[in-house]
Amino acid sequence: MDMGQLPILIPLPLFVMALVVPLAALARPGAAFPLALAAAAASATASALALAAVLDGGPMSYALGGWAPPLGIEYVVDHVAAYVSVVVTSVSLLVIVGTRRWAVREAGDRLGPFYGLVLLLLAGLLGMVVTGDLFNLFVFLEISSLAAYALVFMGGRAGMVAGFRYLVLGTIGGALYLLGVGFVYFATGTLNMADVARILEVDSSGRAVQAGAVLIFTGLGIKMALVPLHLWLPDAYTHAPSSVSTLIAPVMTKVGAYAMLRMFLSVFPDGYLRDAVPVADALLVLGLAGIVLGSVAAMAQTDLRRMLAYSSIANLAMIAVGLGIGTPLALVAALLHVMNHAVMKAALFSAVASVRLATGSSSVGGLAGLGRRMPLTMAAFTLGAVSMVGIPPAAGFFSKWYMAQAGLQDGQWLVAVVVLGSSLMTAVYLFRVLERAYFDPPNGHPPDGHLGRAPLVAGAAPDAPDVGAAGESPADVVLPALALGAATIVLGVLNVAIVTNVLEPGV
Amino acid sequence: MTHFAGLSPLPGLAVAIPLVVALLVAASGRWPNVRDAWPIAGAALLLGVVAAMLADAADGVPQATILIEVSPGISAVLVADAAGIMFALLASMLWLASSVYTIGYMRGLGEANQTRFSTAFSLSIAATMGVALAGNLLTFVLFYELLTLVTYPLVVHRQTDESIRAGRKYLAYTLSAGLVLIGATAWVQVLGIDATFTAGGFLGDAGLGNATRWGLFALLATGVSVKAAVMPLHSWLPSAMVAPTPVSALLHAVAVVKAGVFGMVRVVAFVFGPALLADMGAWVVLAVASGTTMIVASVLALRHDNLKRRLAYSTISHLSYIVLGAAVLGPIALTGVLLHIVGHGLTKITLFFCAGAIHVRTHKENVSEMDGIGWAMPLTMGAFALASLSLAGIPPFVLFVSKGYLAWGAADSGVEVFTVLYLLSGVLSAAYLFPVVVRAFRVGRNVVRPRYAEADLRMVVPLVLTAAGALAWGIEPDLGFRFRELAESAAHAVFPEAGAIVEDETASLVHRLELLTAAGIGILTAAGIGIWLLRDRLGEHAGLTLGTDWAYRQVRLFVQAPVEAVFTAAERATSAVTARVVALASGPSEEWASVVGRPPLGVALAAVLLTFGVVVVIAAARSG
Repeated sequence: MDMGQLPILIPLPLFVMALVVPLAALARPGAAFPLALAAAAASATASALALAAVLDGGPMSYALGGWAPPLGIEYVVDHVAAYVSVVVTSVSLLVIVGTRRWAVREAGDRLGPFYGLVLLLLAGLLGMVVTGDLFNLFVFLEISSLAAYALVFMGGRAGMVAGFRYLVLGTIGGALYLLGVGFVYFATGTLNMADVARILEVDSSGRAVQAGAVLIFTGLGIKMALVPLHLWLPDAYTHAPSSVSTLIAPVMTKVGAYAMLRMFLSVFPDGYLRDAVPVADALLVLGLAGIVLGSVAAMAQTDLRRMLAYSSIANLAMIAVGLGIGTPLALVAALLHVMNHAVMKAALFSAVASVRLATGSSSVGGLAGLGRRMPLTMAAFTLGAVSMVGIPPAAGFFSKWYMAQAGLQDGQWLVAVVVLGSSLMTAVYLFRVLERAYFDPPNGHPPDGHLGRAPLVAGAAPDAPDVGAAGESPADVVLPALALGAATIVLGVLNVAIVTNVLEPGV
Repeated sequence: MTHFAGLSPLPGLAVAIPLVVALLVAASGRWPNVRDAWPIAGAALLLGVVAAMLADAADGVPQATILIEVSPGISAVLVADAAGIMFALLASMLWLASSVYTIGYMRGLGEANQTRFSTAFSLSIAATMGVALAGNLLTFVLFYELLTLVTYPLVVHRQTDESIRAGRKYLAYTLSAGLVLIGATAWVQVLGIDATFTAGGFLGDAGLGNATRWGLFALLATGVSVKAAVMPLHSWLPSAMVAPTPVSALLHAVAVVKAGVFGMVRVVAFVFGPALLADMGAWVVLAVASGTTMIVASVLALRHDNLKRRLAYSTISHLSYIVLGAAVLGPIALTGVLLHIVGHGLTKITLFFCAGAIHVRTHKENVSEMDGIGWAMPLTMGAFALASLSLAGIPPFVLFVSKGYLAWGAADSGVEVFTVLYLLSGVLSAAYLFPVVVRAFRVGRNVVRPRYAEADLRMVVPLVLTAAGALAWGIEPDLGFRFRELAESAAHAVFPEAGAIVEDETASLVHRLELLTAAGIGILTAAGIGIWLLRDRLGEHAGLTLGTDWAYRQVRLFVQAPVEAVFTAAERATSAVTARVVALASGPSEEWASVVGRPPLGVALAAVLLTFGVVVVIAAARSG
């Protein structure tokens, strides 16, 4: 196979199958899942091959339809793009497997359209990753966002409301981005990223470029849930169907962050977003605020999915901080966290989905005794939680380790303090969950006769659902979650290989 | 530690063995006898492996294992140097003792979740081995954090409200400490300094500015002081006593807290180095904190009727002996420090074992209920008596030797005030432990001498052996595992310039200590024979018991009251902060959740506009 085709081969199977799956499902509803899985697997394979090819021979590009850039649309896969697409596809693959039962339950007889949308969502995300064209990025952004809105709408009445907010804010974000691209186009006369970069390198003094940069920042800021542009996220993640939130929580905002990184690396000249337009400073300040506020808000939650949603905001904020610092080490830390957070958040959401499948509840209080009843699910949750807190050798430790170093290296004391301090806040809300699951007897009969004590966790009210009968979820639900949990340890141990081979050459 | 005897798998094996034991234990939960045999076999094997590295360590050419690269340019390295081997020997030896003891204890009480307990216990040993043998700062920090994580399930093991609260407190303290250490490690890394532990320190030659070195000192010293329970960072330790006694015995008297003081030794002697700390004057900070802790904790031990709590405060006090000894910055004191780590581990584990044996047999936890218990449990209380003598620093016990080095080393380095503190604290140790012994063997008008009812053999044998160890290594510190030789080797590596003078002084010190030991053996033997002959009359002699009680009350009255008044105020202040943190961790509140709930869509849109506007304004301002 010609390796030069790989950039387009990453999103292509998803696009094709997004059309095929709904049609095939009309004839045979049972075909939707295997076809979707096959498409995701094909895309994952293409991503892995692309990563191997990039490591071997450097970045590669593909001109869509044979139209040479800058006129035609160019797809570029460099170290960072290949890395992010491997992360997105492999995490999604595991999540698609693990949420099949939820999809069947939630989508009912609309499995075809459901998987069509899922594939469309992924296709959009991967398109954003591989494209080398500013306008094409907008197209993919909208494709993935529209698919996501539709998927969130499937979450019943609450999902409708949440989805509507998401739609309004997401559309504003997309529109701002498009407007920004318009300004840049006005100033440079081109939409190809590399071409824009060349032209701006020579002259980037115009007001139009400045305005474009601010608009693009705000638009992508909404997509990556930067505080205070995050207000769509908690509801969307909480009220989306489980099969959807488990998929979008780990990957979707990351791609927004990746697009933001692209603006720094491949579009605007070195230092432009730092000096001429205070985008870097804004990312740094809002990122630090986001880490603190997201963590504090997560502590206040009684519902696991909402807690994890706020935790996502805090973690995305950490990626933003890395972009804001902007040194190579900081970018390495941010990119490493893209992967680490995707994996651990997927593990946590998968575990929560498994808990809901078995007990019907996702409240913290409903977890009592689950450590014993659902040992594998809770093991996955524990691994994810330990990684989130940042205890070595789990992956989450290393993103914090590099980020703290990056902050200190740049003289940004506060970064190191906030990033490390966030570990403690994460410990507060996640160890509370573990405590509940492992050290709290299931409703009713605690040892040593301390019946009738005040519940340790609000929401562990007497009406907490009875999990007495709940057993472990089926293997196809638990194993992907467990694999993701185990991956946090493996990726932590192997972090040096990833950092030195993939990320350092990439930035 | 610049040269290794060469790469060897043994240090790695020392971490791997308990890890494998943990997996085997977890896998054989259905067969309790098999499950409980694994730690015994593993501990014996581990002790062999550690002992096999002893000779090279004593010769100053340690064996090393390079694990994996954990950060570009930094590998996780395990180096079995003399200091590390001493700690590893102690931990593996006492793991063996406590794995036997644990069976008797846990089964005796019918504790639930024994498999989880035993798995976490073995994992804790693995982490402790990592802490002991870590060859650089990052490796140390990695294992130090892991130790926190794997000991947490042990603290909350009983799953009561009290233990869950203690667990939260434990995490709040130790995780914060770990983060402080991670921050310090990152800082050292950013400074471009190779953080391989080096005898004599690696920061001394780095030419650091004053702010940097004090900043690093503050972070590193605070980070290790939490597990070393130096006041005011100690309050997790008494709370953690809600854990089952084997945990208190091995972890909160040996592994975890010793990881803290061992970390202090690493920070003082292998990171900063004595020369730099003397230059900075930073030792004064350590000395003030640990000297205060040593005395105040001893006094606080007096007030606790609960035996485990009394022992916990005694542990806090003795940990500060070690920190204070490190702050002396002298070779003789450093030898004493390392010996005290071993000696206190042996002694304190005996005391905890005894407390646990009493608890299992009689369900008594308070000293005031233990009148006459020595007649029922003569072996247990006999061991307790020996360990009490050791803890008070009376010859010929092991803590006499280490305290001899510490007190002598302090005087030798010109800080005689430390010597006075050591002696005073020894008196206080006697004051809080001897009454327990005297009460135990008391028989009076109101106390019926109980019938013989010794605890399970699986508990008695380990505690008798550790007490015997405290005696044997007091008489001959080089017995078997060559503790004195290792300690001196480590100290000489840190203070290479001290050379011959110190060797002469050490020789004369050793000579004096031996004389005192011989005298101690004589007196103690005579006293033992005397007590044995007069055992019946002594027990009934009201004067002895009442006299001890009177002395105890006087000490409480005159020493404790003023110290306690100050301390209570301080503790109230710190615990207010802790309580706030704990309350935050205790659970979300509905009203709080609503604050961060769902603002209307208009607010969200306003936020977008605001963000956009602010960035535009700043951009416009910048470009003029």
